[in-house]
Amino acid sequence: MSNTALTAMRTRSLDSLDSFCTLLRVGRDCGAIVPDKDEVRKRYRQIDRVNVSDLASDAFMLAGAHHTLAALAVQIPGRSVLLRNAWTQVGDSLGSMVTAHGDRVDADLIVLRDWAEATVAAASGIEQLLITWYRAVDRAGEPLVCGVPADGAAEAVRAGTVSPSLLADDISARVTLFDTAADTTDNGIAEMFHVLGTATDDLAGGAPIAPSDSRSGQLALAGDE
Amino acid sequence: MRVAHHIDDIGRRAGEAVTAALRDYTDRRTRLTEQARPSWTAAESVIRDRLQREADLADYGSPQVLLPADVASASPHTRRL
Repeated sequence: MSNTALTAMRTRSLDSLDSFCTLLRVGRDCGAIVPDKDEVRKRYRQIDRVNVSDLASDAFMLAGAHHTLAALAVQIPGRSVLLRNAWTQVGDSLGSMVTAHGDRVDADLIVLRDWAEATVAAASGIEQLLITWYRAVDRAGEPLVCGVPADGAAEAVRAGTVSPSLLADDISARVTLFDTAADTTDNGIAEMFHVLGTATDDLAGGAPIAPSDSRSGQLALAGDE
Repeated sequence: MRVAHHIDDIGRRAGEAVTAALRDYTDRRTRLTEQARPSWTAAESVIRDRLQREADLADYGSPQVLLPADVASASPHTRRL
């Protein structure tokens, strides 16, 4: 889904949130147990803090970095052959060093690939979850309750055309939907970020250490011999 | 399991849970609709009458209260079906 479409869904869900908050008052008047509207808005804001487009940009950047490095890495064996041919006296030493360097690059590439894939998965998973969340908010804020508009509900009850218990049931159903969807969405996003964060730490910790300057120095000395 | 698969799995499970909640909500409201349907017509009628009454009172340009008794109920704001 495009970023614009997701933004449009979010905008619509904000209107639905207002409608839902209005219905909470009606539900309370009818005896339903409903949360405070400030609490409802707070929970919405909690989920709304996630910036999925920034995460998608990061994922795109990581995937691009992996692609670029992989293209460079495939040149290493060829360079190794060139070096062996150019430095005949220390060919074996040079060859083993370049091979070791190539192995480290391959390991780095695997780390980068896993990291990029995990970030892409998180961005995609969170976006999908936000789509279902916005749908749930839309449904919870549907303006007609028992067939009457929220602002006409009190009059309908007074006129005896709608029973308060029916109104209360309708609004309770909306509250259940909102609560379940908010809990699940919030926990799901938190869990995905937790896994991504832990994996990032693990991957960074497990990444091979870059060759130190002294080893680079050894290469230079070997070449001088 | 690769990290990406793990994250995919979390997202899928959460999405399915929200979808199930939406399905439960739809089922519950369908049952409520069946219970409420007889009273909805009456509710709509009350609201329609109120709207018509308010429109009549606010409309000084159409003094229907001055019409003869046999057509006095013919409010210009009555919804024609």
